[in-house]
Amino acid sequence: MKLFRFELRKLLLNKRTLIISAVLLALYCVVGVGLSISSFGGLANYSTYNELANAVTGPYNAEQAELSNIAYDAAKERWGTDEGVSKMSSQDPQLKFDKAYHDYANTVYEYWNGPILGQDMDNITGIYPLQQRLGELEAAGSAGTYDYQRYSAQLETELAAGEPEFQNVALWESLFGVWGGIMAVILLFFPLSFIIAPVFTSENTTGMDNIILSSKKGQGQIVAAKVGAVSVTCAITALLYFAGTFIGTFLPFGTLTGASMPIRSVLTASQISMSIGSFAALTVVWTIFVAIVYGAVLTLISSKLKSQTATFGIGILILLGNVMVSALGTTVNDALSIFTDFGFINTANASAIFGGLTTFDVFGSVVPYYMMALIVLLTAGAIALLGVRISQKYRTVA
Amino acid sequence: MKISMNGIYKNYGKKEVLKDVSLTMGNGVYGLLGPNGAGKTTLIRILAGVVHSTKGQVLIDGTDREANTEMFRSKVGYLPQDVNFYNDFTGLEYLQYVASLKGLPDSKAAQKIEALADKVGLSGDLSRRCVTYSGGMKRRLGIAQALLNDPELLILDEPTAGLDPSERIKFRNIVSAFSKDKTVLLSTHIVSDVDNIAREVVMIQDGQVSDMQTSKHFIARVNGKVWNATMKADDLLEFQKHAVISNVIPMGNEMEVRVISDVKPHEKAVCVEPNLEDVYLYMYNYKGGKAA
Repeated sequence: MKLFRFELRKLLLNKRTLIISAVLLALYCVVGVGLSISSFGGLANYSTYNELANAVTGPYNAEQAELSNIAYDAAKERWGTDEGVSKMSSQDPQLKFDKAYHDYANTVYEYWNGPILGQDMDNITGIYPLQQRLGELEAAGSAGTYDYQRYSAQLETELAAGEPEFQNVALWESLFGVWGGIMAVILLFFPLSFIIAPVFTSENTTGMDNIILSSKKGQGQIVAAKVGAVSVTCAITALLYFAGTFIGTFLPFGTLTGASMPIRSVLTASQISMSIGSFAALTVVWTIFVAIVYGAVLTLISSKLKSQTATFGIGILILLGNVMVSALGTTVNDALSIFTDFGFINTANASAIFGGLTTFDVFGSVVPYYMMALIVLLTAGAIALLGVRISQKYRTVA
Repeated sequence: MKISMNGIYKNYGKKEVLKDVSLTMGNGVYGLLGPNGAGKTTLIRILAGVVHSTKGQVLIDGTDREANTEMFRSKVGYLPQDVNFYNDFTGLEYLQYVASLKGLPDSKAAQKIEALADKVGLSGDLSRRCVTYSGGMKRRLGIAQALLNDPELLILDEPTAGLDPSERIKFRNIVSAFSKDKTVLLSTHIVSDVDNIAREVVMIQDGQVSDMQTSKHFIARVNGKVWNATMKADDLLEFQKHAVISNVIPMGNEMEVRVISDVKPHEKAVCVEPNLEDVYLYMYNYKGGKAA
């Protein structure tokens, strides 16, 4: 335990890392404030939007949908694209509301009929298309197949969740935009790489490897102490990230409106039934877990290399592995799907892991994305820990 | 404790750094003398267990060290040649950290730290950050960490580098006092470090070691090969191009020169008693009857 405290002191509770952490916390707050304020163009606009949204919160309102669709179409004609409308709506609360209700109306349509832009026949969505597909599978005698199982489960979940209702959750949408994917990788995992990279390499740089490796606990217990310190560092840095962006997003508006609404109000395809607030907590816990696994992987790299820069560089390459593999085309992408599906950009995105429809066919059984991700990450973490243990056992100073 | 290194080889790629090195040590101080690049640090690191030999065995009381490395490490104290301490740690935190690495219980660690800090003269400085220590203080802190676990084998690699003469003497006294019933291997290229305290000395050059011998034995080897000659300063400039000179003392208009040579090097030269430094120069700087 004492060794762990010293390792934590070396890695996290030192002047350099404390300054970095303070700067990061400030940055996270600024990012949260920046995204939420810019999304509304100011507090007065949010207030107006709030009034408009709260007035129609609840089940689908066809009259409001028609009005909002007309307003949206007019804006789109003026600004050219959906992105253009989004951009302009940040300065116009009425337009922002109309766009939100227009999007909601589309979600309701898609809930029943599947995607407006056309169905992906490998991943069917929408109540009617699902019922039709299940009927076809039954008629073809394929009721026991993986597809039948997953579409049945999907239909059951959709029907249980019911038709989406309109909720005033714009701030949460803004927050979940920061809490995953490339944003999380850049804002959280990049700095983490920098903080963790020296965990073993610094011993080489300072020459302390000589003393550590020749000491009684320098090949065994030191690994547990260092991995423990890395894990705590990952957890604390991740908490700073979530706290900073959360405070930054909500503090200017002084409200947590929407926290008790179902997560499907934000993630329309979510197959998990829980409130937005609970999902936010789940996101925090999950991302901390992913960060700890990444920390273990980076610790292994640090134990194998003598350079902090090289460790940091390889860490970044691992983080951006998904993007690089994706850029290599469909064939390579399919062949390396384990890296694209379970790379850190994807797994660090709780919204994608828990909020989507992705499932995996494991010996004919339907395994949800989060379960597969959990298994893959636990395996990766265990391999990394074993690797660090072996690496330290055979580590030398030359 | 009896430590034996048997047939140790170490290669880095194609470069053979150590060649068939064998040593045996019991209690007392042993000096490992050799010029820079001779292989001292590699040999020391292999003994400390922080570098693996390419071939060969280290035996502790006749048992292969690999059979119980943790027990071996609990008996070792090691001061490496270059250590930069953690910038944020105070001297006290640093010693506490090393005590944890060595598995010392808190109460014992506190007592040892206090006693050692007193012994190495750092009692008043333990609350200061290591980064503010002078070179000599860092070296003394290094010695203190090496002694924390009351090691049966103390390995010191160039321990006096950067120490001023008084600190060097203090260090020698600490090592002498410690070595009564322990084994100390002291690697250095500074002959005076081992001259007075080493029970036996081994010379290393180009990865090969000489027999382990007492200083007296080595000194006997150069009997009749150390000379004192008096000459003018101008003559010295020409003379030193072809001779191994161990010392020069100005004597008015002339210089008294101490020379290592198989034959009488100067018409006025007289044979004098050799010391270990002369042996060192004879072995490493005197090749084929002339300066190397």
